[in-house]
Amino acid sequence: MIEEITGVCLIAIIAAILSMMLKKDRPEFSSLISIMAGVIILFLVLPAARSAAEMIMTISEIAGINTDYIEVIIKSCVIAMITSVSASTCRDSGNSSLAMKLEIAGRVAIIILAVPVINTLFNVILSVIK
Amino acid sequence: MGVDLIFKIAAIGITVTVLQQVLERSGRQDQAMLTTLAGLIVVLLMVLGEVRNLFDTIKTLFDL
Repeated sequence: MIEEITGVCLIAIIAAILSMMLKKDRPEFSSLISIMAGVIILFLVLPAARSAAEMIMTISEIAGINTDYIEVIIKSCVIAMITSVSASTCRDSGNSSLAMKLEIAGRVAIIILAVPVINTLFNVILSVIK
Repeated sequence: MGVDLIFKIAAIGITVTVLQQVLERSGRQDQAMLTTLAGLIVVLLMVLGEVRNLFDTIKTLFDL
């Protein structure tokens, strides 16, 4: 990741300048350039994110936490990342209502993902009450 | 996979702009519009392929 950070910075600067150049004549190409730059940057970052997630899993394993819960947290982080990237792309293209619906979809997906954890929590609470 | 894809999109955008202006000067509005549409579709297919590639990679990496 340390070696790739300079490349990420350069790609962002180049994409910003190129999309500024095309903004006046071809606004659709300008937003496509920024989408492409975002995809390339995420591709460069993805292996490091995977190793960070693995590190968190091993630490929680050592600490004796059930890894199923940590996996739910990591998956919801990934869902939030994907939906917020797509939503900010929509917002950049001037379609903020679509961005809001996309964010709602991401929240629903995260809630569905967290249903087993919420169920176990409620079972613990019910057993305490009884 | 690298910065050359960004340059490719920018080059297609500049080419389409030039072609559109030339065709509009010579009075072929319909062909200018079709050129713009073709360039947009080519770039859109490129970008969509890469976006799908990224999302597939994320899916397999984090087994969503």
